Amino acid sequence: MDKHIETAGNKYQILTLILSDSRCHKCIHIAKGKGLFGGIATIGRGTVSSSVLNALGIKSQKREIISFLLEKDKSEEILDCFTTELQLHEPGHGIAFTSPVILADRRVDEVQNNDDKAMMEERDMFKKLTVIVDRGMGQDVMDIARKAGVRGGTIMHGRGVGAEYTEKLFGVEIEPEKELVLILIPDDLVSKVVNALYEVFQLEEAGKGILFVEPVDEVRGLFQPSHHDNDK
Amino acid sequence: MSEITAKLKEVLTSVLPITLIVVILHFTISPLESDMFYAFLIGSALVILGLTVFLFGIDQGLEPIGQGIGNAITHSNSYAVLITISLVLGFFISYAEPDIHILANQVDSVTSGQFNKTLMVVAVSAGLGVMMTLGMLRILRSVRLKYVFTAAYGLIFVLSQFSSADFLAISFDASGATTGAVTVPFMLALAAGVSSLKRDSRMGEADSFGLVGISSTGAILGVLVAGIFLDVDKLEGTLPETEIATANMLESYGSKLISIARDAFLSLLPIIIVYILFQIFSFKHKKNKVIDIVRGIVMTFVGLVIFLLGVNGGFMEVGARLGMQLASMESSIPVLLVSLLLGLTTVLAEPAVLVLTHQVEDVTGGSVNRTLVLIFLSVAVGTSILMSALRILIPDIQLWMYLLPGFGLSVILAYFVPDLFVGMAFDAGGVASGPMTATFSLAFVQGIAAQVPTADVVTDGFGMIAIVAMMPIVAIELLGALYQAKSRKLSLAAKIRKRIVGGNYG
Repeated sequence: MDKHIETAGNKYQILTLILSDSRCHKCIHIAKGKGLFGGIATIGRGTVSSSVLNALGIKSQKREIISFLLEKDKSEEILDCFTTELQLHEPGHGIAFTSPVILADRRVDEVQNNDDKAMMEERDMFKKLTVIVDRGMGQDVMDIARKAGVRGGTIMHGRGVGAEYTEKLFGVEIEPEKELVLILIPDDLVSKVVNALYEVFQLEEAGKGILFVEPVDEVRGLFQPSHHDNDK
Repeated sequence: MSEITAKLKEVLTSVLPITLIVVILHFTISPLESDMFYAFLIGSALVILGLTVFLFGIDQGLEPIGQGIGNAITHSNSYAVLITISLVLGFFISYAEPDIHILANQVDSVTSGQFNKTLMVVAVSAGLGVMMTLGMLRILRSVRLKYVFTAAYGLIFVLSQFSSADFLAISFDASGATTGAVTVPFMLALAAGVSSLKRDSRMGEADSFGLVGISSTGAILGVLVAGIFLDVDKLEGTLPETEIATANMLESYGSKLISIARDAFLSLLPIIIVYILFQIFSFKHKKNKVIDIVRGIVMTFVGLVIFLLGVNGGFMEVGARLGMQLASMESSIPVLLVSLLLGLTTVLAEPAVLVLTHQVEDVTGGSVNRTLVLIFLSVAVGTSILMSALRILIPDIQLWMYLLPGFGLSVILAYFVPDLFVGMAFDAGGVASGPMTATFSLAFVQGIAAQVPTADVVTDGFGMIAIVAMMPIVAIELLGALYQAKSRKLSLAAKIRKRIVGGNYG
């Protein structure tokens, strides 16, 4: 199954940038110029290494984490472009990296589904599923994932960025609120959960939401009672 | 160091506009005495420095305490605990606020002692305690904000029928006075601490706001209820006018330092005591964490003292002088124009405004841009000061002609705007009437009143804070309506665009 999905969905990558406030602004601007769609930005806190600041109690600084789902053949070029425009080669200016994606932009079709079942017994592996939906729908995503057999997930707060968001209010761009749902799912549930989510949220239609699956190596702390149920 | 420079830059962009306007006025139409002008420049520098330190202190001290207490109260899972703590905390936060004592003294003298100052402070604090408790209960019981505000302002409207217009103005000012620079960040953090534990993220987001707005109606209700029993009809006594000292500027700063430091300490005291109690019985933080929080409190204190010193030492007198000089001009255009400009810029330098706009960004994941909120707040307060000046120049305009439609509109709009913006809007009302407005803008308006024969320094001054507390509510609700409309249009446009492009992904 792994092979099948990997070869089929190999054309995508995730580009993640971790930047300061002002650089984030610039980055979104560049992304718009490049015509990138469907990015998501969340707010986080970075560490501070200066001992003077630490002595003053300033132990973290605001950081924005921006992710774009990109086609693999484009991502190199865009990463380079961000690197030069945002001067990422100098220390303290921010971080950018790409990571692999197994599945994006479509359902898992029936053939693979059968493969899944064949593989299920052999290995106990997990995948990381990310769903980006409009604000307030994260809970619905979880409800559906639960029905499909997932035990739990994490909902994060973010805002949509990219070339599709062109509305302005007094010169300030409007970036709608989004929710980012992270779920670790066992391989055998991937197709079921993904298809269920596609079904309910009509993800084939543009603007409804974004879903992608990333590979995961090791998982700890997850318990899978559904397995025992299946065995019985 | 980038974090310090970033914060400093932010504070500079909020304080420099008001400084620039005064400097321009000084060199053009309204020259100030050189002593006063230098005092103002020193004041600006102090405000910038103080605000920067204060904001770091809030981040490290007040916010963790507020959120921690909010979490602890919610985890106790007991209404008895929640109600007791909120009542006591609300009462003492308000009781310790120096502004409310200043206002109570003024009220005492204008009512010739009929409305005793102790009674006034107790009435305001009790009202605030009760409403803050209701505000906390509302978060847990998920009662929609619009219903709470409809009920609260409905009650205020009914009660106001039994009291004189002057008295109504005092009650609104009391609400502005209680929501000071320390109270607002603390309440915001408290509400965030309680609401963060809720399951539904969308409601949780909206629920982090509104507590300040609800609490400030408590102060209004407290005064109005007390007024009914006292039966005060007309304000008669006179207020000793604050003298404009032209003495040595160093002296004026020095003499203020001690009283300001005492005031700032008092307003922090209830929070410090509560933290000690919670630390012993509930938090049991590790030593490092305690050191962080103590440092945060010290920074808050130092920052607040420096800030208030700058405002009181340099800004207040300049405000009064500008008001007098501009009002004595032949045309009334300059004074109106300057009141608009001063309103636009002073609100940016309010400490609580900076805290609120940051919380807005944090809670919405950056989606509600703080620049937008600032633009709307700024326009709202600019209009408020302009309206106050107009009211002094045209005696026919009564205060209720502003307040009734204004607050009426705020309550009605609450039914058409997302909950998040309703909470933000009513909180912004409390936030905008902070120390900057209460000293600089108030002194400016009173300065105008002193020059206009038909105006009364006391009553006209009293109404101003009510207007400043009202306009931001309407403005932020309008922002919410626009925001909602734009977001809808956006998601529609995104769909169409994606279809044309061929659905890049998703």
